[in-house]
Amino acid sequence: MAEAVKVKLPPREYEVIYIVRPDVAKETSERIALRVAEVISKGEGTLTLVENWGRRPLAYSIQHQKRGNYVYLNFLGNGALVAELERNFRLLDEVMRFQTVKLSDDPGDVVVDEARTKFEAVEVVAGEEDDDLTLEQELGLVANPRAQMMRHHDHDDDFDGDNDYDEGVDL
Amino acid sequence: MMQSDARSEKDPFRRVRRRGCPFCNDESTSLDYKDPGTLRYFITDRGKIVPRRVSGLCAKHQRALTVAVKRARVIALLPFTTNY
Repeated sequence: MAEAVKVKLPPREYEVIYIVRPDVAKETSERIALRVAEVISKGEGTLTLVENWGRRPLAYSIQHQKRGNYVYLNFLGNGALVAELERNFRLLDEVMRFQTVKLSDDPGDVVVDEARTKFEAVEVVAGEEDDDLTLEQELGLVANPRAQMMRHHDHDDDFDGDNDYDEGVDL
Repeated sequence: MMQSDARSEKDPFRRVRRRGCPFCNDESTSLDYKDPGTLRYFITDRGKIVPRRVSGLCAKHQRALTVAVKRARVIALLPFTTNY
């Protein structure tokens, strides 16, 4: 009787980006960072890179927010660790969005630079300009400073389903 | 000489412009979903992925582009649409 042989697979390399709400306090984002690091170490993973991209504009609003604090991580681990990490992200209300991507199945020897696996604090820039519109401006009751710009962008609103490409390509 | 003139008169707008896939020509550049600046070049004003006949990419890189744009959309680096 052949017995199932458990082969020890090398850890896989993953990267994950998560977006924290822009209105959270510094302590909250530190708490999230601590929890992420804890989950990874508990799941026998290795954190290899942490980058804080800071406050960036979102391409579309998520949870009525137009910006988000992006954090980018690289780590070694297995599928169970990814599932556990994503479960934790779902539990954290401050995390608006996350995405994990597998980079490689067998990363080989990865050199971990300790200094680059630290979660830096999000620097909150005081007096940052905010182009968030008031409700009246959104509804068009008062002059919308963005309306001019948006009209300018609308070239293709004929809704006829064609591509509207103007090209001279032989078909 | 006459002949070529006649042809260009017949269809003055037809221009055949064949360029190779930019990502095959230059190994140093790659399609990464974390780089919306490069990807923006391959989406329309309304956020649609441009077709191969317009983008000029080879099949391999067009597939990579599609995956990259879709990943970038999920993480809000690129829009799904600009309808709002």
